[in-house]
Amino acid sequence: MPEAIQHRFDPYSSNGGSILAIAGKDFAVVAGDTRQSEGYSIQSRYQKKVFPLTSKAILAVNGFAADGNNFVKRVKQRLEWYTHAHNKEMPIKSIARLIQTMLYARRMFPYYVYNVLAGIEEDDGTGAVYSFDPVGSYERETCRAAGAAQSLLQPFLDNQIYFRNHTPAPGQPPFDPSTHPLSTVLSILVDSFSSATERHIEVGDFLEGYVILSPGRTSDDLIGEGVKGVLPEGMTVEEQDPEDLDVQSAVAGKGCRVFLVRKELKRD
Amino acid sequence: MSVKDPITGGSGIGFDFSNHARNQHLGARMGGLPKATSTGTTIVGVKFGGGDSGVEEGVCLGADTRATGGPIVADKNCEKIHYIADHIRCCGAGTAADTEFVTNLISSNIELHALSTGRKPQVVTAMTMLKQYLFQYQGHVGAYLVIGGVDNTGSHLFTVAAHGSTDKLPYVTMGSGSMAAMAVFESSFKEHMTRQEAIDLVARAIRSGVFNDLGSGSNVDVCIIKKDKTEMLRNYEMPNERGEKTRQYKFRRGTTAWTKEDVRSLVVSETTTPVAAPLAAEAMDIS
Amino acid sequence: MYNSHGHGHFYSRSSSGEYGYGYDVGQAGRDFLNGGMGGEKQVTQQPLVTGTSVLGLKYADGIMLAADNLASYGSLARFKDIQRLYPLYSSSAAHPGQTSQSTAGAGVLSESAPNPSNSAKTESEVMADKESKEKDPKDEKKDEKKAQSRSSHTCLAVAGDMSDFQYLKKILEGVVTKERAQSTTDAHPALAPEQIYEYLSNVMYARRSKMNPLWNAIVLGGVKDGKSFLGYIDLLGTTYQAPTLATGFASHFAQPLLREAYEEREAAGKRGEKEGLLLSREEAEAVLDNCMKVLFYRDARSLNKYQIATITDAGIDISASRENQTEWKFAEGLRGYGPQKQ
Repeated sequence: MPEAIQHRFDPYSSNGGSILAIAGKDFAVVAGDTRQSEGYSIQSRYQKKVFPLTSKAILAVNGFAADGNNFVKRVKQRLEWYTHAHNKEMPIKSIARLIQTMLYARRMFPYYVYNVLAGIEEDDGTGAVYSFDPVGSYERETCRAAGAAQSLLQPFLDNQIYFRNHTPAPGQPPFDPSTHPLSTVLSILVDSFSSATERHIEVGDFLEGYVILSPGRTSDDLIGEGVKGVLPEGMTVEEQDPEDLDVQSAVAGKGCRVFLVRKELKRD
Repeated sequence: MSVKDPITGGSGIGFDFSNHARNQHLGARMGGLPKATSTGTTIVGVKFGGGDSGVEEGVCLGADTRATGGPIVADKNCEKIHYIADHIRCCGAGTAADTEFVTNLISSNIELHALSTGRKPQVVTAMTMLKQYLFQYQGHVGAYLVIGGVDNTGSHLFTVAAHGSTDKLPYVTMGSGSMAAMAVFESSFKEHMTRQEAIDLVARAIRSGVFNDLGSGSNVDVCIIKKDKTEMLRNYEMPNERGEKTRQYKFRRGTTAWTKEDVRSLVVSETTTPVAAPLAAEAMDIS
Repeated sequence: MYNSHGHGHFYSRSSSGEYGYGYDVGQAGRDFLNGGMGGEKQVTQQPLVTGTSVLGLKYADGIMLAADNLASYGSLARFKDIQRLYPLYSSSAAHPGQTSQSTAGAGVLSESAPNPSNSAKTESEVMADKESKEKDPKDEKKDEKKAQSRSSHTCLAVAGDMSDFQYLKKILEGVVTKERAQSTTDAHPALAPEQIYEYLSNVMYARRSKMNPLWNAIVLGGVKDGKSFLGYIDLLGTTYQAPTLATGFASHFAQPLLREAYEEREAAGKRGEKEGLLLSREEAEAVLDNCMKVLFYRDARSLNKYQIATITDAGIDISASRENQTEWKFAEGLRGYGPQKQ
């Protein structure tokens, strides 16, 4: 009756945390918390899960951290090869399709990773968010939350970004999710994560992410005078030097500006 | 698999396993037996004073205030230090409902016991009642407890695990944060501490759980029990206060759409018309 | 001296000659590609002779690691004289780009049985010590700057299966040997701790992807050009960096103490009560001693005999084995577990 328990090696683990991305008319925001955990233990309070790929595309990965890091590494390698072959950065639309094929290639031994790709579309300069399941099903959206607190974050975004269950005032035009100003989007981002931190044990420590501004965008920029009223309280911002950005391309992006944003979250 | 008692013929003495096969069958059909929600927790207790120190002896209990259901925080400020008697308190970890009910039950029984004996109940009495009750249920009542108090025989501190085993030590911890808290005790516990030293150590042990164990969080509750005084320091420390939201989330009146409008008046108005005027002359004699 | 082959356990790695001296990151990438995609059938091993948890801590001059000297065989305390700290790579300040034979030689090349009682300081350590004592403190900054641009040191603390650890040592030695050969012939840059960390994570992740993991959790500490690095890698290929690290049991017992000490020192620095934000050498060592004591109290697979590795710009110092004073009298007045009385 009591057979010897065959202890099989489980190659997967789950490392908690959440990621979120919102696309605007001429910008995109993508962020995640920096807590990495396993079970009830915090492995690190500061571990990145949002990675710049090119000067206008940023990838957030969530799920099994080892798979996530290695997946990002391999995507970056493919992008470098592309740049060497074509002497240009890969457009975000193509990166999205590349990610799909790379994920599906491992259909029988999947990367246990939820990917959210955000950036600026090459042709029209609009903000874009692409979200993926672990085996490569993907779509372009205005916003997406993924990870441990997805079930807390996504309904909030549906309501605040997509205006679900909102009726326009009489005589007003219907809501348009693509018209949110950057200040609103950053506020919603910060409030989403502070709320997820309150109610989800795996979310916390720091919020870190990027804002990508489309070329030609001038209003409420994140540096200088314009920053007042755009940046939520307690959030810090650093403009990224394209040289510092871990981008694969030697070719400069067409004037996209990328900002690193950070904010402290609760640590309990 | 039913166990028949050869003497009584299986008449309700000893364990009854007659539902075991049924439960296994149901469990297999439902894809696993239902699981009760349990709380991640850090609870601790230390003894202080006594000996030749000249400090009045007592016990100090501590608990965090987070209650969880899976990875979700169910209650950010719950009370885990339960009342047993004026001079006995009990911290609970494990299945929230079980800790609540088992401490309530024993609290009632201790009160009845006090009434019938006419004496102040001892901590060992409460501890024994708890362990005997929990042993009956073979661990299915998922209460993991730290019980402390001061009675006529001195100060006492125990842990009671769900299967009914107990432990008697000068410093104890329980719950998912027990290791984080025990690390603090193992490196900083001293015998015969002052009241304040004990409170500081307990608060530090709870904080260790709050910040390192995901199952524990929010605030620090402390309880100090001495011979004739019990102090419940609810929210002794609040190191995790909720921040302000950056936006106002007020909805415009009329935000929620509707598919059908049906307004009905619930006010019924009537007019009464007297059929015949009363005759003054024929008024009732009320004299 | 200690291996598990004698116990009749057969490892599939014996057939995998690809993990030789020529192993490089590129090979890891190819191994990864083959990983888990239905290659040869492999039996997942289980750990046999194991070391318990290890610690790592960032401090003012660099990194400190700690590990006890026990290798267990299940619940048996099988080998009580095992060194689980491994000074992997040391490139000295004196000869840029050239591996310091003295430092690396002591720990890396000689496979002498770890004799903790005389695992004294390496030659370069002694030199560095002497220098710092003799030099005018004013000159120190200049020297530091010079040293900072020239040295690179990396050390591992390894928990888990000890035969897998020995195997890892072998392949890492291969990499280091290759590097050293190149650095003697030209101005080859020194291997940075981050690079060794990346390599090691690739090896671990590739093996997990083949469903044939190296059953270890590793804390890697290093200092290059005055910049310290501390990272964790385990059998799943999971990686993370933090100023305080602990594996296994220690992640529950020691990590809270390490974080507390680290954060309190940082806060004291920010309040201006102390200079700098990091623990001093003495403070860091005291914190690790305390953690090892707590672990000995509470980890049934631990031993009260351990070593501390100190990685600074000057090199890697593996301490002699030491033990903590323990106290078991705390509950002398207590009898039994319940109503029993004295």
